[in-house]
Amino acid sequence: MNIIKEIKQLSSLSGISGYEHRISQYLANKFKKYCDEVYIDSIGNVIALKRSEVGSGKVMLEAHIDEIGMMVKSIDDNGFVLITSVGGIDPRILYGNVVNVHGVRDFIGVIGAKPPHVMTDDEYSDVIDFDKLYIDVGMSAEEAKQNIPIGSPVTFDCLNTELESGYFASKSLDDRASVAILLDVLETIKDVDLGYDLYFCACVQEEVGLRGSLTAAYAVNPDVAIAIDVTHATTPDESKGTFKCGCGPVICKGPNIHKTLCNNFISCLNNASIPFEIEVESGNTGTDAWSIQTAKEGIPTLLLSLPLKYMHTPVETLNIKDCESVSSALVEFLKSYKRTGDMLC
Amino acid sequence: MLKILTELNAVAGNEEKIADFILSQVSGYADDIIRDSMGNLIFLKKGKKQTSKKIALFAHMDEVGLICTDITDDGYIKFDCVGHIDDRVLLTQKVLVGDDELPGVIGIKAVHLQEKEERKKVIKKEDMYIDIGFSTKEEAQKHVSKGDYIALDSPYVRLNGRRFKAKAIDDRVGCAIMMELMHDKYDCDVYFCFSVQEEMGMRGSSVLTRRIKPDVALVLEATTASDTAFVPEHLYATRLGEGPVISLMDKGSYSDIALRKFIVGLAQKRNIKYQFKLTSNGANDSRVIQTAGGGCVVNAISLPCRYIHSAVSVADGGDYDEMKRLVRAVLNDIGSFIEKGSEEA
Repeated sequence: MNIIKEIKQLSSLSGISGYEHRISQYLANKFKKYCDEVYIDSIGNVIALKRSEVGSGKVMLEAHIDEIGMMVKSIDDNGFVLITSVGGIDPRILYGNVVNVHGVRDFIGVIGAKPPHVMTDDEYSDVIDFDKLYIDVGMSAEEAKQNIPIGSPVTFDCLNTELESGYFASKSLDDRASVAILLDVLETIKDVDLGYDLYFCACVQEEVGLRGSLTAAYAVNPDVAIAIDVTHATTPDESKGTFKCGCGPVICKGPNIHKTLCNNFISCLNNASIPFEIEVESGNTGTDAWSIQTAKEGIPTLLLSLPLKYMHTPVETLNIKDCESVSSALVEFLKSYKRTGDMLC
Repeated sequence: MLKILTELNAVAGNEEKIADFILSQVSGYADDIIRDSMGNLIFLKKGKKQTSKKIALFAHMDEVGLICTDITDDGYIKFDCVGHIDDRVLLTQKVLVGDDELPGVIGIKAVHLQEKEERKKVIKKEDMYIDIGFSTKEEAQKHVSKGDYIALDSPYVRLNGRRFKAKAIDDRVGCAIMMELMHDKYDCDVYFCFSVQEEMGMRGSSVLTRRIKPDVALVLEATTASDTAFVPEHLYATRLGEGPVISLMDKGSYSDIALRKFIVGLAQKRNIKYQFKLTSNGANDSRVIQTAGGGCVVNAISLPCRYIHSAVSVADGGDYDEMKRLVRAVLNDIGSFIEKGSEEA
């Protein structure tokens, strides 16, 4: 599969937490091609099953489909759209960005602020916070109020940019890149009977509290779950606790992670000569792995991450090589995983 | 035409591409063409009547942008601004680097990695960097050199109604109107002057004016509109949708009173919308034209433009049409103004 093509497609779709229906629909159709059962549950998770004819047991791969964004708070007397954030956004990046306002239909707008010549000296040297930003959609107050209901979701406009050396920048690569990896894994093993049922879960509402994965994990109740998400890549302004793009899969260790399963995963990668890095998280990983681990009666969970620069901005940047190696790592593991339970002890 | 012109890149000091384009489009309409050593373009259109008076129209080809000042050891581009850009509109913008226009993004570490105190500080351009996808200085140096010009990358997009967003509306609107008006013939000799380096302090136009020594000059510009959220109405400098802006005075020049009265009279007679610029902030080529050589009668007519000097400037197509009508009317009737002027003298 051409992963970059799929990532482009997925990142161009809009779906802030709670408004993922376009993505759920798109993915349900995608999974149907090679899966035996696909359904969208009551909160929007896509759950796809690739059944085994010979064995039993269940493994679940999971990535989240929602993205961070904004929501319309009010419309002022001149038709400017006031906003608040959904998920964590640094307000300093917003001024001068292009957004898509999903009102009665989609409207392109730009994020503006008071022009510099009417700012006071203090305002000029200060951060422009959400309460001083607005979206200009080029509408009068009357038009805006008709077309943009309060509560309309707002996403960054998607301008995919291929950079040099396999780097790629776009919005919502967190976590659509991982969703593309799920599709890639499926396509790679579509003709293989793994000896157990494999579930692909594309989950909603991660950015606002790891919610979708909780109900998906409850419904599937797998023997083992692997959450795939992004982690921070090294940039000139942050080298501590980050991973260089191109390093391959980043495997998390810590209380959120099943120790033996993790060690087995690592030996599997060593056997396949796939380079990787270890990330240590001493508590909450802040990913769906955290909610999956305690779903139902408890689920042995792994977290596999992809290094991503400038997370939660419209120019999130990854290296496509990392997507490919995360996909290969998953395929290697799935092929070696046996239902016998020996992976877990 | 505005789409093509605003999407061409011509940071001050690097106007060659747009000058080539303008030459390719309008050379056929000119009786004489000069491309001077700075890069300014002058097209002379001879008048239908013999007259010793010279009319000159000015628009500047350059735009604000960035320039590469250094390449870091890990292959990121450091930059400075060419012309005035508010640091706060730069984060997460897309850019095009060098003559080959390599795509890049201005990164910032993820919000998750920032301390609370950090989030309160404006990030200065000195601390920003551009990511093109290179990992080492050596790799980057093969494609990028110190001194390479960097343009903001922002396509022309229609917003609601006749509003549109683009970069470099300042002053491609002036260029576009002049290019259209060159199709017609006028009574007097008209010099259509496309200047360079306005954003550097009107450097191109000073040279131009000394060469042409016009009797009357009109500067076609884009000017700041502050009719936005969080700005009290009495501070609106200009408003979108209210027609072209006739300058009274600004930081750089005083408009010639007789010429202004003539322009306003024409607008009223022809039922063309117009507004005055209600701030004395900002300056344009008029400043140097007024005082270059022996002095010159000058006025500026501008398109109101929000978020000027950012990648997401917003203007109104209706204002553009009205501005073109007004300038055309001035060119057609300027003979009467000149005659009257010389009678009074």
